[in-house]
Amino acid sequence: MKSISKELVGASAIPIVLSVLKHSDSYGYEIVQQVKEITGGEINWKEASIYPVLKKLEADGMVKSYWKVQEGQRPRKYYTILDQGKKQLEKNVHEWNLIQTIFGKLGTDTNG
Amino acid sequence: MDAHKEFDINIHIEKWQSEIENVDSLTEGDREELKSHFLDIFDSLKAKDLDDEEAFLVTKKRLGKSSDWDEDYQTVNNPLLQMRKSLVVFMGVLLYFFTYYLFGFTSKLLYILLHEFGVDGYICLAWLIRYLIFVHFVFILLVAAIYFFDQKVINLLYKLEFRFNKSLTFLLSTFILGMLNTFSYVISKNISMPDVYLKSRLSTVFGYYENYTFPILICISFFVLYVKYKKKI
Repeated sequence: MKSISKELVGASAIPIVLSVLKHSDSYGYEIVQQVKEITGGEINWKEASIYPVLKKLEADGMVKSYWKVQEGQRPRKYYTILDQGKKQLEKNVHEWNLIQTIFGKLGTDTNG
Repeated sequence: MDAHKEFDINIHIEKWQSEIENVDSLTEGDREELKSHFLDIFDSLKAKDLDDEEAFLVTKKRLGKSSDWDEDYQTVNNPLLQMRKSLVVFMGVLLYFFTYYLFGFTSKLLYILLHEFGVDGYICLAWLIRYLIFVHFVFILLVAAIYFFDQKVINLLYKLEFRFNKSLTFLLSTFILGMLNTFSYVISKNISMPDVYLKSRLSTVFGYYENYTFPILICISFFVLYVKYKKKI
């Protein structure tokens, strides 16, 4: 099975990360694993690449980070989604739905 | 005999960590986050019964090479990297003043101590001049060491962990040295007071070595090191 193109992965990284964080606070490794699990490994990230995305989201006020130290575990930097992040996610989902609708209306058939 | 050398995971993890330490686009927080991620992947692979070597290699591959994400980090950390560059310039200025005040204070302290031990004022002055010339030579040696053994000097500085988080201590030390330099100048002038000629000679010596030759020496050193740097790029 072919994995999703690099360009599409780059374009979808922000809404995907925001979607994961919408459900609960999480940290880099966990976010990557969750995405891999959902896509059955079709999204092939160089895992460290998620951190610049998270940092950009934090700089833009969409997420907030905090270090969490749990007993018996190593310290981890968790991310939580903020209101601006939720609004951005809504906007992104709307855009992706629009593109999906365009494909649907044009009857784009990848097999033909 | 086993053809393979035994794989020491600790050595390889340390090596990976030191590679991460040398990526300039990362902050300390980024490095901690990457290390934590690295160990999370490694642990999960070990739990799947991979041996140390396999788990290590897969972890490295999954995390990606620094060239895969360095540019992205540079973009997001740009304001911080600019600040870091400003700090380097600031540290250079601070280093100048630190050296200048250290040089000034120790020379005056030597003069005061010799005077306190009852040494004649003019002999104190002669020792002071010797000391000032000696410090000039030490400085030249230091610059020569940087010129000829630049990599070794840089490694030594890394071993001393001369990092930015120590810059505030450095700033405070420079400030204290500046104060001590000023006070010791007043004291050394006061103890020479009865002899007007000695006092005048003392002011001339301090003025000549501290405000003239030493700053010129620093400027020449900067020029020499700059020429070497220009040749390398």
